[in-house]
Order: sequence, then C-alpha cells, then structure tokens
Amino acid sequence: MQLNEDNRQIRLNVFIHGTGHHEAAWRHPDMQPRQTLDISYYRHLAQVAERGLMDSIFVSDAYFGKINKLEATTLLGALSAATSHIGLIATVGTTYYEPYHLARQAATLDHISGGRAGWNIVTGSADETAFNFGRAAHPEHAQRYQLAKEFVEVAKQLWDSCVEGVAVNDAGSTNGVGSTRHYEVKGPLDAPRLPQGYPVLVQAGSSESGKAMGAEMADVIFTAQQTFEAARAFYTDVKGRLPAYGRKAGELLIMPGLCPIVADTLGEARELEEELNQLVHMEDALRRLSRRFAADLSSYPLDGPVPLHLAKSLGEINSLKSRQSLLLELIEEEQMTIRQFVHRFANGRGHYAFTGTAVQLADEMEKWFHSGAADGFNVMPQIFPSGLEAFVEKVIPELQNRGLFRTAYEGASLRERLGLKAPAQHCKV
Amino acid sequence: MMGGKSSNRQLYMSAAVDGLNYQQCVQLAEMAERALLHALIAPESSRLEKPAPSSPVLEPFTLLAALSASTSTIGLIAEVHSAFYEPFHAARKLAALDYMSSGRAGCLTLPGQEAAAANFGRVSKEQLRPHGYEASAAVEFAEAMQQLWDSWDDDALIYDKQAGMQFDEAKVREVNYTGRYYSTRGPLNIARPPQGHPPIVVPIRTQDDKLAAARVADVMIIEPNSLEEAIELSLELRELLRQQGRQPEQGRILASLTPIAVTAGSISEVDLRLGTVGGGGKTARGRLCCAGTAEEIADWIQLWHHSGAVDGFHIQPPLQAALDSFGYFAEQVIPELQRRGMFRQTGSSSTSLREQLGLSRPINQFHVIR
Ligand SMILES: Cc1cc2nc3c(=O)[nH]c(=O)nc-3n(C[C@H](O)[C@H](O)[C@H](O)COP(=O)(O)O)c2cc1C
Repeated sequence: MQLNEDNRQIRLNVFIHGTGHHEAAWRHPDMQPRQTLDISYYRHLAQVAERGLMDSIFVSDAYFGKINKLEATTLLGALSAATSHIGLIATVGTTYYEPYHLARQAATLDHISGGRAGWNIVTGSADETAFNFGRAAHPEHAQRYQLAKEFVEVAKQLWDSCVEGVAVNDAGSTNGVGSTRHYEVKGPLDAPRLPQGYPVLVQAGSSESGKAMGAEMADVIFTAQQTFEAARAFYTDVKGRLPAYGRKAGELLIMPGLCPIVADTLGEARELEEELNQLVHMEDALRRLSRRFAADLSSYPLDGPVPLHLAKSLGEINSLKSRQSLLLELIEEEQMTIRQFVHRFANGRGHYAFTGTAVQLADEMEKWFHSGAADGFNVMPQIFPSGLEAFVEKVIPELQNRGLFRTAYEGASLRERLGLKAPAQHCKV
Repeated sequence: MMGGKSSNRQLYMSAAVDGLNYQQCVQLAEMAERALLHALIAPESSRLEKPAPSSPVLEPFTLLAALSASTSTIGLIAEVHSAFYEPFHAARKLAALDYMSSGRAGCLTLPGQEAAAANFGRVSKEQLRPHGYEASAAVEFAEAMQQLWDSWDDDALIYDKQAGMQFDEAKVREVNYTGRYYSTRGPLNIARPPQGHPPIVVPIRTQDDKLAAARVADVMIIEPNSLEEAIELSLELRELLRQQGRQPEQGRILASLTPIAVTAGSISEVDLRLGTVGGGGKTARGRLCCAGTAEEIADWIQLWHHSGAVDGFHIQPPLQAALDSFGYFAEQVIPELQRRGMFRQTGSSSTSLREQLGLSRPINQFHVIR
C-alpha cells in the first residue's frame, strides 16, 4: 500500500458538539451553555472552521436521552446559509428512519449548499431509542448493521433515480428502484440529481460489522483510537479490506478523532487541561462509567486501580461495543487509577486527546499521517469556541507551513475537495 | 364577528414556497418577509405522480432551516405527512427550527396519501408502515408532538455550574404517549421550544379533517368554492372548536387562494376559461383563484375578510410562474391592502409566530394535570 503519494494532504473535519468535547466544558467560567440552542453560536463555530479552510463540519445525533441538542440536518441546513465552502456532515441513524426521507433530506442539503452535504451513517446505540418510536426493543448489533447496509443501498438507488439537472423521468422507468431484503421503496426521488451525486458517506462504527460496512461503502471513516499504534492497526485493517470490494486505498479516508488542547507553551496547555479535569463531576462520571462494569466504581478508592476483572464482556453490551475493548486495553496498558480513567474518558470520551503546543501537535499529526495511521483527523476541541479558534489560529498555519494542509479552498464540492470520485450514475433511464 | 363588519380584525397571510429551486425559494421568502406576510409554508412531497421537471420539492425542514438564516421575522411552517413520519423526529426538527428561528416554526399536518406508501415499504412485518391515513391519525401525531414538547418544563434548563447540574431532573419527564397509531415514550431530547408548541396547521378537505382540526389546529386552511361556502364552513369549524372547549379565535381560518394578476390587455387563458376576471372562483384543478388588477384582488380579499368568513389567506402562486406571480401579489396587492388599512404596515415586535397570529402560548399540559 502506498502511503506517501505526492501532495497528499491532511483532511480536517471539526466535530461540533455542545460546549466542547470535554464533558466538563460547560462548567468552565467562560462558558455560556445556554447558547448551545442558539444558531449564532454555531454560525460562529462554522465560520471559524471555514476561515481555517477545514474540510467539513460534523454534527452527531441520537434519538433518545436528555441531550438537549438541535437535530443535525436542520442545524446544518441553517449553517449552509451561513457558510460557502465547508462541508456539512449530518448524522442520521438508519434504524428509525425512512430511506426516502433521508434521501430527500440529504438531497436538499446538497442542493442548498451547492454540493457540500455528507451523511454520517449510524445505527444507534441504545435500547431507549426504540421506545420513542413505538418499538419494543432496539434491534441487536448485527441486525442493525444489516438494515443499515440495505438502507444505504436504497438511498443510493433513490439518488440515482434523479437525472442530471432535472427531476426524473418521463417513462417511469426508474420506478421500483429501491428493493432490498427489508425495504421496498418505489421511487423515484422527486429531486434533480444531487450536485455530488451522493452526499459524502461517513461511517463511524469500529466493530467488525462497522469496519466491514465502512470498507464496502463509506467515503470517510471516523473512529475513536486511543494510541498511535491502535490507530495504525485500525488503518491497516480497514484499508486492507478495500480490495475485496474492488476499491483502492484512496477511495476511503480514515479520520481518527483528535481532542486537542493547544496553547503557546506546554505549561499553559497543561494548565487548561487540569482546569477542565478539575471541573469534572466525579459522582456523575463514576455513575456513567460504572455502566461498563458489573460493579459500582464509586465504592472503590479513586486513586486505586480500576477493577478490570469486573468489566462487562462485549456480549453484555449492545452499544458502543468497539469502545469497550479499546478502553479496557488502555486501562490495562497504562495501569490507570479510577481518577485517571475518569479524566481520560472526560476529555473526548475515548478519542485520542493531545495536550501541547501547535508544533508538538503538528508533529504528532504528521507522524500519524505519514505512518499509515490517518488520512486526516476528526478534530474534537475540548472546549468551544476557544479550542477551535486555537486550532485554527495556531495548528493550521503550522500544518500549512509544512505543506500538509491547503492554503485555499479548491474544488467545487466536498467530494472533490476530499479527492473522492464522483459516484457513477447507475441510472436506469 | 361573523357577518358583522369588523375592520380592525387582523388579516393574516401566508404563502406557499413550492416548486422552486433554492435560490428562488430565498427570493420568494425575502419578498414575503418584506411584504410583512405572517408565514411561509413548505409543502411535503412524496408524490408518485410524474414530478414536473421544473419543480423539485425541497425537503421542508432542511429548506426552512436554511430560510431561517436568510429571514428574520416570517413564520416557517413545514408540511408533514404523518402516515410516513414519526412524531419524535418531527417534534425535534420543529423544536430545532423553533430555536434557530427564535420562535418562528410551525407544522402543517396531513395524514398523507395511500399511494405514497410505496415509497415507505417494509418487507418485514414488525416494521410495517404506514401509521394510518385517517384524519384522526394526524391528530394523534400532533398530540404526540405536543406531549413531547411538554416533556421539558420551560424552566428545566438550569445550568448550575456549581452543582454540576445542567437541568432539573424533576422538570423533565417521560410522556408515555400511547395512541392507536403512535406511541412514544419521551422525553424529547431537546428542551421545550420557544413557542411552547409550534402552531399546528390543518388543511380542511373532508369532514374528518374538520373534527381533527377542532381538536388540534391553531390554523385551518380551507378551500371553499364560494364566499357562501366559506361562511358556512367557518361557522361549522368555529362551532366544532367550541364543542372541544376551545375559543373560536384559537383557530385561525385561512382560505387558500391563487391570485392571478391581470393588467390591462394581459388576460390569460386561465382567466378566460374561468370567467372570473375581477372575481374569484375555482379552477379546474380545484384551486380558488382570484384574477384581476391589484385593486380588484384587494376588493375581493376585503369582501371575504369583512364577511367574517376568514381570518386571512394562504397564497398559493400558480406553479408555472410562482415567483413573478407572487412578486405581483407582494408588491402590488399587499400595498393596496395596506393603503386601505386592511393589512399591517409594520412588522410585529415579536418574532414568535404564535404571537404574530394572535395565539396564546400554551401552558405545559403536565402542569395542568398536577
Ligand atoms: C466520531 C464518531 C462519531 C459518532 N457519532 C455518532 C452519532 O452521532 N450517533 C450515534 O448513534 N453513534 C455515533 N457514533 C457511534 C458509532 O456509529 C458506532 O456505533 C460506535 O463507534 C460503535 O461502533 P459499533 O457500532 O460498530 O460497535 C460515533 C462514533 C464516532 C467514532
């Protein structure tokens, strides 16, 4: 596998998430958490990212819980009007959605943004979700992925049912396009062909089924990796699966999460990290992390070892499976205390966190990029907007100086900018 | 009141943003906002008929979200076909739109057409769609959304940094809505929208629609053939509202209308066929049209409004020349209505669509019960 093609550049997505990816960011004295329901807050973040020439903005989503969050596609619809180059990647879960609605929604986002839409395909991760949709239970992992794969196939067929420039089809010949084992969707989609053909397809599952699906159909993979070695192993694994689907290494971009705390000196960065860690609500954090164990972690000494022998097995977990093994390995390897574990998990929920100067971070990113661990990064600032501003003002110029990142937006669509092929239209007209 | 001449009654106006590409939608939205219309309605499409090549229908929520950024006061109403949708998804999209637009969101609910079910087919029985095409299904849909919006109290978000509490647990609840067609547990995963409940709009086509509207509609859109019919229909709707224990003014009645501009010597074929120049009538496609000069259209609107039959109009420009036609209405007819003191001359001080429609903000139903 050739990893150092000429003028290959780092791809940068920013994962916009509440007040920041540190779970205590909202408690920071500078933070006004109420603004997370305010569009001007997101407009500012999007515009900072666009000023930094970043490839895309990504918004996660879930259909349960008291997360108090603006729905992803609606939010990005509004941000499309406030930006002009940056990609807009919305999470839409397949398990409780209709392919037809998703296809129209993504088509609309792609049209109004002039070819900047992306879709993060997720299957959802909690039983509670089912109850919000009148269902008795969340389908189990393998079933969810099977449905998701079919869902994506149907969506692609719907996007293919649109022809260039006009909304389908005099002969009605594209009818009955979307049939799979579980779905039967007649079509056609009532929309002109998308500027990008398909939105950029993102997959963020790291389980066996997740990786298989990503290798088969994704343009971009987001993944949580705790170490360089783990990221490289993941990268090698997934890229190695591509030939089986007739795909080349460059057709799938792998972007591990990166939770930076950047300052002018290492000392300042550490101070900010410590400040955020001090704000963690220990009881809540322990309660949450205890769900991964067959015991209540709060009954163990904070500065004692994590009781690894009580960790739940993968079989007992129906959500975020891949995250479980990752965490356990890390705890074992680093011999973490419960407090260290809490802090490690607080700054990015299991993604790779980095505290340091812009030069140090750029060194690390360059290493991952040039050693087969990443095509780019899913940047997850620990606190907004300052964490994103610091990244854009300090780290991006450093990457540009090294010739690792663009100095102007190129290409008309997100797909082009990411160096991805336009999907061939399998139009049955 | 009914029949009486009550010239200080507000005249409410909405417009369909239909059959246009995005740039045209923005233009229409900006024109409508300049003309001080109260709301835009973005239609849903899951049509299986051959779509017109020139009129793609953009998905309402995503479109209106984008329009929320290019407008600042006009209401943004999304059409939803409940048979193919989930109250949980719709409720949170509407809540998001309501937050992003500072209280301008609304929802037009229709059950949807059976023919469109082919776009939502499931092979496996346990996920069988659709939810039901009866008007009562759309009522349930609206009620389920309203309960989800009420799953958070207005003051549930506290963001107590000291205590590490973002919201007050006692003020967020499961709703456990269980109807014939829908069930949803909740709570919604977003706090109660600025308007409490974004207004529900129900188009009246069948007898069942009337009963449905009486229960949940904040706005009703009627499609009468004549003024007499409109008067009769309104009487009936207001009576049904009363029977549900609601005040008549809690349900605004708009007549859907396609105004057709006729300037001297430009009488189109449509108008001739209709024989309705200077008056109103229904086209072959069942749309209420009013063709005439700006003065004539204003006369006609005045007549209808003063009769007490309607609180206003939902303007549906002819699909063929929607922008031009709407432009004429916004730039010629609206100023004429303003000259006559019939239409507001300054925007509302509130951005809330509810307030602009003169509707009160609903109290949280879980408080009423306790
Ligand atoms: C960066 C990133 C973002 C994710 N965003 C979402 C999301 O918005 N909604 C969701 O349900 N899951 C999300 N996930 C979870 C994944 O879709 C997936 O369920 C998880 O990584 C576990 O993998 P698995 O499902 O293959 O076991 C995200 C994962 C990553 C790494």
